[in-house]
Amino acid sequence: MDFFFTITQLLINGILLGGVYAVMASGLSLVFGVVRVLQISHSALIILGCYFCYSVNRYLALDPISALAITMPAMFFIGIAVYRLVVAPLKDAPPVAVLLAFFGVILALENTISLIWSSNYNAIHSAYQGRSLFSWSFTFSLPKTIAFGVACLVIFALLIFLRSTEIGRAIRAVSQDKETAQILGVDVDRIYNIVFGVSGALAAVGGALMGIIYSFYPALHWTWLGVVFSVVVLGGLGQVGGAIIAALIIGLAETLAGYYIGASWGPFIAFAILIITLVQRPQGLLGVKGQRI
Amino acid sequence: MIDHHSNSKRIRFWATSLLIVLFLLVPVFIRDRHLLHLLIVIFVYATLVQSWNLPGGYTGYTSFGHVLFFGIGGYTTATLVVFLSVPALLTYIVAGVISSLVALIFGYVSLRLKGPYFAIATLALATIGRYLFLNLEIFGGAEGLLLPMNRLDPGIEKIPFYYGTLLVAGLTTLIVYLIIKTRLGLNLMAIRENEEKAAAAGIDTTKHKVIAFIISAFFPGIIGGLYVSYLEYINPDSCFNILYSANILLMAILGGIGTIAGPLLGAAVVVVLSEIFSLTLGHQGRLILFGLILTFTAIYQPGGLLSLKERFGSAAKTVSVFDRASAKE
Repeated sequence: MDFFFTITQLLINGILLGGVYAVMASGLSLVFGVVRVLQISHSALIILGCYFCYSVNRYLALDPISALAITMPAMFFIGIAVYRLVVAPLKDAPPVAVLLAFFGVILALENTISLIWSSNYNAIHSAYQGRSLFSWSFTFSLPKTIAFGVACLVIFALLIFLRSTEIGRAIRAVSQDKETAQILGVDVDRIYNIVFGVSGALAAVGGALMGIIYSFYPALHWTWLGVVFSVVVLGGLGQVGGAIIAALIIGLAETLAGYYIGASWGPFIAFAILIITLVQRPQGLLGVKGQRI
Repeated sequence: MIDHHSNSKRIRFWATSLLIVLFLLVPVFIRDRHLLHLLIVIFVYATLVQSWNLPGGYTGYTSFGHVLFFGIGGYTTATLVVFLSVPALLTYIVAGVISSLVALIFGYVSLRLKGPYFAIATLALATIGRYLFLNLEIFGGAEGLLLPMNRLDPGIEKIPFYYGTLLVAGLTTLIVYLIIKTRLGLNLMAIRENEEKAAAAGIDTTKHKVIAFIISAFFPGIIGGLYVSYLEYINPDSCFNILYSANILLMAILGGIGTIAGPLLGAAVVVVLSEIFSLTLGHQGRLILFGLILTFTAIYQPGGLLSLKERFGSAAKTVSVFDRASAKE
């Protein structure tokens, strides 16, 4: 009985965390699905979003969730800046050159954050910090529950945006067949701008939600890099549905490993899943077998 | 034309010889500890970048986690010295061999991945290495291990390490040079240009890639061991630090990827710049600048500093993996 109680509690924690991971990875998945580049600096954008939220929360005394009204537009423009300054000039370059350029962006971003906010631990303060809900004798950490709720809302909004708006349809058209979309009058460059902007705004959400749950420091994005990439690769590159399932799996795996092996092994699990998936099943969980990447 | 070619060859031979003699004589004239330390760091990086270059520059498989082999070498030496009291000098070869073994296992499974996915797999593997040693208490966890103190006089204690790292850097350069002049090197470059065609021409691409990867792990293993016995301590953050991988990439692309002189030039330039900018801009300011240089070079000067020479009309042609026409996937 005790065992099942513990397992259920761990499942709850894992699923709540997985929801946040889904938001963190969604921006990366979107960029890969449409623009076909591996945005390895996405987790650095997430930590930037986290620090933006921290400052808005601290200096404007806004609740971290309401702070998103400011940080999402700001990160939207930073996403566009990454596209214009780094991705667009490397349009015809081999993929590894793009990765090298992103690596430089990561270094510059991480150290700019350290310079502005210091490289020590920080935390976002909120009314629900450290509080919990109890029901059926299970504990629901309030920050995690709120983060999960916001994550679900944002992913739902993203899916609606992609499915039902004019721009969303254009984005899907470009992701399916860039050349045909172009012939049909879609401005591909504009779509790429928007996609990078949206992924920046999603990074703002991911950063804020992680900042509500955990304390953070600038170099933490290297750990998140493992998380977002394991989610996106396990889910199948560019597949949003797969990424959501994968995020829950990674959240659960990390929570279970953290409890049964030790908290410090959590990040190890995400990176291990990433490598095993890359080597054994590069097409992802739901991908078509034999598809090469 | 032929005359001109052999002329430039002769100049290159004499310049290389002169440089080697100069480096051998440095400790005779220079006793400044800080300067000797900088030169040791340059040789360490020259080894790392030169060996990275074999799969990264000549074969087209860019490792973003080459620090892994440096760390494995470091921990091999530290473990043998601390727990088994093996003399440090005997451990370096073991460090190289163990590093190569890891490269064999990991390379065999991961070198099937295409360029960018291979890069991410290597980045992930290096991070896994760091977490592994952080969490394993036998290796001292985050605290790491302390090696027995060096009993040499402070005036000359750096000299054996100066010659040691110089020797390894020189050997690495020589071996990579010899490899690219042979059939193996030509086959590796064929894989870089077009892997399908190389396979169709009868090259066992997997075998070649794994061999290149094993060699490229051997020297970082040795230099990792050597550097650890020089520093006299090791911990996961000192030897699996992602900044090593970042520096390797920066040095490689800044010097010129897929060239012999590029890694040496890149290592020297970046270490000297690090020194200057650490003093003027601080640690973070320097890394911001390095990040921007890395991004800028990847976008606007993918051939690195050596390709600047080409721009001004030199006869030597540098081959870049980032040659946009030939390397486009």
